[in-house]
Amino acid sequence: MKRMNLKPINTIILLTVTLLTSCLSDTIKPDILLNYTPKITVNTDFDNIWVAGMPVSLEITTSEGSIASELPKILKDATVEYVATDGSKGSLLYNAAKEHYVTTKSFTPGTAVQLNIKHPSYPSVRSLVLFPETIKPTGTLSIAGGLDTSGNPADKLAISFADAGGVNNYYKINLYYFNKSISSWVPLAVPRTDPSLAGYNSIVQNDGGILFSDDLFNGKSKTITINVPLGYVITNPGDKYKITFSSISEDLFMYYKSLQRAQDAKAINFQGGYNNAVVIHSNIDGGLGIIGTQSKEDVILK
Amino acid sequence: MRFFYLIIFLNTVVFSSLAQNNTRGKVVDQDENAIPFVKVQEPETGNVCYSNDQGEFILNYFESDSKLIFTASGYDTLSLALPYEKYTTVFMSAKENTNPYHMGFMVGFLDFKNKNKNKNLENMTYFLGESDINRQLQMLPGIEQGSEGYSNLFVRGGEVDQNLMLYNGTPIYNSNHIFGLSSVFHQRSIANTGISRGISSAKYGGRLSSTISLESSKTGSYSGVKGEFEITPINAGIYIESIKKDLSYFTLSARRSWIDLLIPAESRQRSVNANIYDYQIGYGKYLKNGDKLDFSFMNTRDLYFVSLETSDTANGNIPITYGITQKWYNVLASVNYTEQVSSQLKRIHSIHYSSYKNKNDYSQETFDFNLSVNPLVEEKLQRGIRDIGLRTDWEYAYSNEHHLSFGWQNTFRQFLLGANNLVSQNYPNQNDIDTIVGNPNYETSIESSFYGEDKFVFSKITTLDGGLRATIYSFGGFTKLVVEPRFHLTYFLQNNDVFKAAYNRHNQFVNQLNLGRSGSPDNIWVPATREILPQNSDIVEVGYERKLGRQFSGTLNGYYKNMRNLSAVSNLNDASNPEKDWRSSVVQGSGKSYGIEVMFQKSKGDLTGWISYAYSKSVRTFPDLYANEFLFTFDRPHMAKVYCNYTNEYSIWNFSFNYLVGSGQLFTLPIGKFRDINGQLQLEYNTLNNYRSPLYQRLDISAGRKNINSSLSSEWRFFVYNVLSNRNPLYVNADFTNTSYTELVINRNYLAFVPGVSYIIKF
Repeated sequence: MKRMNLKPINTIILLTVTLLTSCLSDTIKPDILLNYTPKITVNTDFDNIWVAGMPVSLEITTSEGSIASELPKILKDATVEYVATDGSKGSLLYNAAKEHYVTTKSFTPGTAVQLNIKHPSYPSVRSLVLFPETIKPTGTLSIAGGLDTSGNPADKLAISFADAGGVNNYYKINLYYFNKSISSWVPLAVPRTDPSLAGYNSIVQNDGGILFSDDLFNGKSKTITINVPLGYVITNPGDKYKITFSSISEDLFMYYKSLQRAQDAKAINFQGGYNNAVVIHSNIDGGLGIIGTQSKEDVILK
Repeated sequence: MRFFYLIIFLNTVVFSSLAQNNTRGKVVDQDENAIPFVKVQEPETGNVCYSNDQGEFILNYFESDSKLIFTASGYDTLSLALPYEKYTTVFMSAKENTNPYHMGFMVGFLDFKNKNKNKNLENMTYFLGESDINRQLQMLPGIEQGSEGYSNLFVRGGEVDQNLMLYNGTPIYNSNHIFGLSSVFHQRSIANTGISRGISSAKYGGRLSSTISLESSKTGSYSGVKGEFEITPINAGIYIESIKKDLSYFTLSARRSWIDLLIPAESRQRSVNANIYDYQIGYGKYLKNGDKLDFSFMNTRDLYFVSLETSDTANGNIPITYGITQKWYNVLASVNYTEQVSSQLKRIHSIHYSSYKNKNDYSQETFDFNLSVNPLVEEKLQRGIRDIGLRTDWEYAYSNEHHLSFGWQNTFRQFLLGANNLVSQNYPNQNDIDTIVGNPNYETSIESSFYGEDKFVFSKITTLDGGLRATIYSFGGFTKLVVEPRFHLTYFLQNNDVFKAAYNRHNQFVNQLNLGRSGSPDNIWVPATREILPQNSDIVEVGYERKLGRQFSGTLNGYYKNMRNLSAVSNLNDASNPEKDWRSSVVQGSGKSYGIEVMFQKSKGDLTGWISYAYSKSVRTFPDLYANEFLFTFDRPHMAKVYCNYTNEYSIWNFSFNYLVGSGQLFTLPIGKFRDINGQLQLEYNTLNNYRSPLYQRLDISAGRKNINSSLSSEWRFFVYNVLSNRNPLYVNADFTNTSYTELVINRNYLAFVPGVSYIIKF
């Protein structure tokens, strides 16, 4: 047999170069994307989360396949019917000016509402939502009674409430100060100094409010203390601060939590696994989106 | 103090029973392979014992001049008088055409020295020609590589961090070079690789999925020095082994990348550099009193550096240099002292150190000729983990029926969870900054375990291993005590087959946060805490093993594993940010996996190898990620693997191939798009891991040619990975080509026809 006569270095360099040509790529269109069936998407938009005691409205849009060139569009001719545990039933009708389905009907805390939404071109969807019970928070204000994060005197605000035990409860807190010059309430960011507001299980929203859970105080009385730097309300003779405190539905909390993760994941360019894929929570059976409910109360601090 | 009293008590118990007559030794075949389950009997008495998995036996008997009878299926019966209190190696002759399959060890255990031997693994087809321990294990049933091309190990639906990889008894925390493409263990530096795929004795604990034991060479059939030099496209390495049989040994294995040496030194410092190395040193010596000392040391390192030059066009084209460096390394060291206190009692005391650190450096230097010194910004991020371990393991032959093992293992485990050193220097009119964000100090956990186990030989055909392992763990004020039962039954049905059944509970007090890719050096080791609870699992497994004819054997295994408190990263940005508390980016869930594995192997002749098939399912439930159960990322329900090797000692050529066919890998792709509550577009995922890539198929081939005309023995080995060029995805990436979300492109990357070569000189 003929003796091999190869110089190791040359051979290995040649093969190393060949290796670089072994990493290939192509473009695919998997069946799960090609066979996508559009769905009805139902949302109570950010400013129209269903509040107990106030009229409700909905936005209904379509979903589209990820590889489709079309974008989701508003559905104007859907049938939206509701049945509530307070004995009422009726419809939400499309309002072209608002591009929402609306009704003048309002629901009280503790009411469950079953929604059925139909459209001839899309699979029907339905949703069962519950308006949370009110929690009757109380608040106190101590002018210059606290310290801000820099150690300077600050107004000390406190809001107290009793958390119902045995179930998971979710809340939203917003803080405002009264601006005398424009005579209106101006939002302030809620500081995340309380453990329940600081962890991952809380979500900061664009309006400065924070959604949080009762994980750390389930079934107990809870007081949240907020220190606001002096200066905002120093010349106000009457109203100084407003804390809007809402008991929100679990679905809404889960929705915002997953939405937050989805926003964070968009910044990451990574392939494989599910680290940058976020399943956004929904309470629409057979469809997408969220019908959020809340029971909201304002505590004015003078 | 309590521990001290415990030692005193154990010594008292042990020494009180040492007055019996006994002899001990090891039963081996003519090739010095251990023979398990050899019946050792004093004639006309009830004094009987059986050799263990390592072939070792201890027999209590009455008469010093008795000739003991050694009987084993497939071997000639031997009659031999052995001295009291002495250790004797007993050679038994195999009958013609005896099947060499080793029926011992716990269910699910595999290794390449006893259970799966004579496979010429040096001739296996390796990726790029790098002889890699992990690639060998990936060919076994129930063990998956994870992402295509990587050297990771996923055992029976478990995560990478659930494998306890021990190099000479010392845990290693990152066993990969080149971001996971190659393991740090060259096959030549490891004499035997053993893997417990779930079930293990009470001696081992701390991980849910597997214990992988890598042992360097410590003995040989005869004294001498031998070695190898090998060069591959990545590394050049040398292996030297010096054995003085029954006296001492010394081994050295060292590899280094060589391509970087072709780059001028100045360029390596200023422009680009990539080099890796690893070396392992082992030394052991038998002392005059028969005790033994073993030393082991290992160091690995990867270094990657790239520098980019650009200019600041907004400020008069001032040159700016950006530098990015990543470096990670392992340091392992251990000392073992093996003490043969009496013929019945052996104690092994050891201390080990294992450290892993990953450094990411970023720099930006501005060359402004108007300034006397260049403004510089640097970020230096460090993360790591290190262990200091103490252990004492005792083995005591209480009687012919009861062999006890017990011990204490203590690990001080320290975590460097992330410290980022920010430096800013020489900027005009600005103060220099040198500050650290994150925690620059190691945080310590303590894991202290006590274990005890009794190997109870009911009869010739039945053995029951019953044990308990208790661990006290503490970290940052969080303390937890766990107790793990371990049971294993071995039952011989006939002479040629065995049934095994076992139950184990395992706890794991350390997690690796996956920051995007399994096996990545950037992944962070973190402790179990009050918020991130320790992982635990229950495993049930049954197995059946049978010798088939003279050359073949078959195994059938079924298992069910239930896992709790598994961890997943919910927010990659926050988890990788040392300024943020990593715990707030971790969610916990549960998982389960089950499967059936069948394997046939041929261990004799020129043509050897195995064929295996595994059916499995592995799922996860993380309520914070997705409301329902979803498939584990590396779930592959069907996987068949074939390893075949042809080696004839008289032929200058040898050949081998790996063939794998089975379910494709899972990825998560967006199926739709919809409007969210804010009116923004969001992607719809119907579940996680919703896309399974097409049939996975891979054929790797290799051919080796020995050069027998040279004074030194040398050999070329040629390899091709995925010779069929099947498009097994390395990754699948979905991305919109525009910001209006109207055109989604899904790219698939794959490896096809990857060549490899190595040149070996033996001396």
